Amino acid sequence: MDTRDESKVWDIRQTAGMVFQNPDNQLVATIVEEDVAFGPENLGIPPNKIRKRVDEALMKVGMEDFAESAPHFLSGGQKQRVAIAGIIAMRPEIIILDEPTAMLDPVGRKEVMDTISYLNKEEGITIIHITHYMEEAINADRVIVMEAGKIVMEGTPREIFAKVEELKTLGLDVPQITELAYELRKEGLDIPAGILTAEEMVKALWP
Amino acid sequence: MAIKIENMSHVYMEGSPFEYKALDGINVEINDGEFVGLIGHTGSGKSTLVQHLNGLLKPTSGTIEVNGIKIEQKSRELKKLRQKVGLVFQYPEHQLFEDTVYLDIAFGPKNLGCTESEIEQRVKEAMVLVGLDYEGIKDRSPFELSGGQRRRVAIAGVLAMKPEILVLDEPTAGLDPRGRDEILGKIAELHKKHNLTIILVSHSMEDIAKLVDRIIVMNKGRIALDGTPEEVFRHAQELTEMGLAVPNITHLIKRLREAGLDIPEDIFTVERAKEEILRALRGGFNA
Amino acid sequence: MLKDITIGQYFPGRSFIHLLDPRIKIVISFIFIILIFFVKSFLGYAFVFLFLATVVAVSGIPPKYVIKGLKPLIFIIVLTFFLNIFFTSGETVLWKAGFLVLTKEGIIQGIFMALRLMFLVSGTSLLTLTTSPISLTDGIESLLRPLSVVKFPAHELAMMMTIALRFIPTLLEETDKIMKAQMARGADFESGNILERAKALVPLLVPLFISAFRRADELAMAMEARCYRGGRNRTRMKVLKVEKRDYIAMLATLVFILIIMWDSYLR
Repeated sequence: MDTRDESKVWDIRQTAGMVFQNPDNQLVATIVEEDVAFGPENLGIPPNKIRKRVDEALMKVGMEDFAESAPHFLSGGQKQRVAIAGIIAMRPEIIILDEPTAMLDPVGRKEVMDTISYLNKEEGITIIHITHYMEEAINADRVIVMEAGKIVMEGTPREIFAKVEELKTLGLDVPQITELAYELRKEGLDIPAGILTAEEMVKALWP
Repeated sequence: MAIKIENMSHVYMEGSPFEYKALDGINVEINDGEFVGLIGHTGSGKSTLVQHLNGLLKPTSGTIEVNGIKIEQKSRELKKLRQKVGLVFQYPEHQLFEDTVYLDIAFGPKNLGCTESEIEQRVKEAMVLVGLDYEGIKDRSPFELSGGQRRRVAIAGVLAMKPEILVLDEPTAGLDPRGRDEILGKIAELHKKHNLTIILVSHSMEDIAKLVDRIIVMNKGRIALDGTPEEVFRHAQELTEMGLAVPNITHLIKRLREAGLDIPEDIFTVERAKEEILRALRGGFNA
Repeated sequence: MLKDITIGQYFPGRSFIHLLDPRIKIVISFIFIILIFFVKSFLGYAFVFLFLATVVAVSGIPPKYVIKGLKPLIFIIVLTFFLNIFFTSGETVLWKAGFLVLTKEGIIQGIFMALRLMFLVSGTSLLTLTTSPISLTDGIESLLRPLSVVKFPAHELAMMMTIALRFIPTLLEETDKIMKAQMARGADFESGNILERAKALVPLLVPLFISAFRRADELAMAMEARCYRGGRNRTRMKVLKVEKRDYIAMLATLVFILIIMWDSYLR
């Protein structure tokens, strides 16, 4: 679909769902399940089918027990999961998340990350996750680095994070483990570039 | 002694069905010039504790003494306390309201009743402390600055009160890595060069590990752990159970030790990890 | 904490009254309010009381909760009572001192007006106590929908109410936060004369407005991203449906209307 085509705009919005940074500012209704229903309602789906979609979506993000809660009693991570459920209920093929964890604490961040990877791995939904937490990019299939409106790097996380110097000049972080591996390589240790996890590091250092 | 808290508790909405004990018998002392990291899961009571430090909340029971001012349930000297302790809230740029950067930073000193010339002096100093160009942006609207700059204006607004103790609640939340490093750099400088007592509330173990001398961990309204970063991060298991993450490096070091590499366990920065791993491996080869 | 305040005073439950269609409840409440003004005898008020008491009993709401709702209005009720006592002209003079004349008719009128007010308030508060804000909004939207023929924005109105309800707790929390942050910078919201106090609110209100606008902006974007394009072609997950219990409630109301009418005109 061509995004410049005005007549396609609603089809595009249904195909590509968006989750935003501030969980508070994207929930519309005063009850969780009503909020999840908001998208399907806008699509004009019959009531009994909406009910089914809402229940499924809440199940997928693990918020089914909070279906009748008020959003302002939920934690940040829970609110963000409700926001994601609201998108899933529209059955998109792609979900774009714009810094969904930036305002969350570590527990909330993990909840959201687990939800995202479940949706990708188990539900086969294409995920575009915009973030500046490098640790969150490790499990991606592909990383795209942008700077001043241009794509400056593109590749697997391993390829990208092997370029420690370049990332640092762009003002970006490198995962701590990767940075350590880089430092050790500079010191002449014979370990592969672009190590991402503690497991890989242990194997490389102490086979 | 900068801060001395004795057996302090705080109960919200006492006597209502919503009654909630946020702090439960806190005992802690913080020394002059210390740089303390305060960590805890959301709802652990750390925000409530921080608001006691400058008299926004009063203890339900127990006392808190800050540089000689003692606050209990019935105390009225809260304003004096607020001057001694500067509190920077989360997303402080959301509290900016004046037309120009200068006027916004001047808000605090004005409330203290400073003279015009003193206000100007203080605004200038505060802007230098956070690394803002006084002449360049003092007359600009805070709302046309970048996110990182706005946050620095807000922090300058607190510094212009000339606090003896500075408390920062998640000062890097929502910033990109560059903005985060700038702010943390300035905070470290405030501590080193100006010997301010600083309490840094943060979720980021990596940030805390890099900066502070001492970590206080709160859990369920109580102080769960209190010690140097080395001592605190040794309790990886307990920290994880409290919903907190240990730095990734600490996690790696644990794995390496389990695999049989001879390195100390209290490592939490990339720098030290590098040294110790090199020492252990090269030492190993030499032997 | 501010966020513990419940808006609209909804008292959660699953009673017969709670489960009634909100439209029926709104209509019955209106009928009830109008009927009160027809009542002209103590017997009539006894019936009104009986009706209300039955509703309270069936709804499972503690009666003291309903009575508590009258507290803020005690002054007005008492004032109405006395105004009516002394300013109703009547024949049976009981007591006289200067221009103050106490008549039997005055006393009866005073009591009637006070009762009327009390029943009015407790009747409407029963509506909000047993109906969640969201179903109240749904009910209003549905009742107003026929008016969209004359371009009345029923859906938009309901959407605005929903969003307001959703954001009131958020903005209260935010107010609390900004207030504390400005207090930490030496702001004083508590002392001074009215002018000084009004001025002291600027550092609170400006950030609050900015934040509200930012939220509105982000919310609008999020709503559009979820394909919101107004009320047209929109469906609802929960469709309001008139069920057996609603007919029972309507029947009960009809009986109540007939009793009041009988009392006022035929007796």
